[in-house]
Amino acid sequence: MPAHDPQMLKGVLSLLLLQLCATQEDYGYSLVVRLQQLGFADLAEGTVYPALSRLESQGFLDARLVRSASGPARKYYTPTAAGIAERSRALEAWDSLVVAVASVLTTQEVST
Amino acid sequence: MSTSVASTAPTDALTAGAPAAEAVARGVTTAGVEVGGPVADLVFAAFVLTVIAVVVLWLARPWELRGGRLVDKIRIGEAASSYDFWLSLRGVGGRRRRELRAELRANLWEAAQHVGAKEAIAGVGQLRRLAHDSVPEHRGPRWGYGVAAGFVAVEVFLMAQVFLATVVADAAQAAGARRLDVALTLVPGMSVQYEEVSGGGFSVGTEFGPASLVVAALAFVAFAQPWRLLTRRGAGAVTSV
Repeated sequence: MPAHDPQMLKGVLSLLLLQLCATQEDYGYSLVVRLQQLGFADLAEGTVYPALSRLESQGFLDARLVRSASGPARKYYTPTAAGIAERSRALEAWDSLVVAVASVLTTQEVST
Repeated sequence: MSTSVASTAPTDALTAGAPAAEAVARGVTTAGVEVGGPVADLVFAAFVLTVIAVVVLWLARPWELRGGRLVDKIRIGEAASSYDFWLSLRGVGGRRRRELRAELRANLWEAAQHVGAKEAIAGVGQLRRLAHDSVPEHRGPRWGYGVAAGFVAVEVFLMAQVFLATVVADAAQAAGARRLDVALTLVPGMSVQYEEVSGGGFSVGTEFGPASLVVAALAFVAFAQPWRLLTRRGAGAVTSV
């Protein structure tokens, strides 16, 4: 599988994190592992952790500390109401982008 | 503090410090051995401190005592401290900094269980970049930068002062002067005094004056940029309208 363009990934990372947290409350490293297993094998922790912090600062994610038997307390994230709304907005924007890009690519194929 | 090893001698036996010959004369076959002095004191203090540290660690961070390599724990702790430093330079408040540091430590700990601490720390990339990306741009004064710059300025100033003192001492000895007082015109209050003392030695003293504090204050203001406080308030006022 080819490596993902970091700039493109940055554009959709918030959407991916909101989606994963909406599916299941989760913490930083586990989210990284889930994303890697879902196809983003080259995704670095250094990209995900700041994105989580920013989403929390923006009020899109809520966090709570959960004690762990094997290590320090983990910070679990869940989307807030604003986060769920943001996920819907970002999803619509993504769908719209995919349609537009597909349209351009299809036209290009015909002309060549 | 001293630790003693008990003697099994009769009641009239050897007293501490009694000469060995006297003991032989009395027919005493056992002797007391006393272990003490500063080395024993240090060992005892180190033992007590270690016990306290282990108890505190067990209460505050029990996972630190369960398995894992010590070097990995040190690596993770160092990475968390470094991250905290870069956050502080970005002007992040103490509480938020503690939260972010604890979160990074937990994530690194978790990752280290799977890929090792070295790999886990490499995964987050440069900690300076991570701190930069984790918090929004700070538009207020940069107090952390100011304090760091102030300390560096004082350090440089003191180094210059020490260098000047050695130059004055060399010059006085070369000229054969018994006493020399040097005051710097460009730096008010800064002076160096050289004096020969009886017995062939010499002493050098320095007066710092207010110059070092002024330099430190200037460096602090230049780097902290407290005027950002005014621009931030101004921006807030515009936004609220």
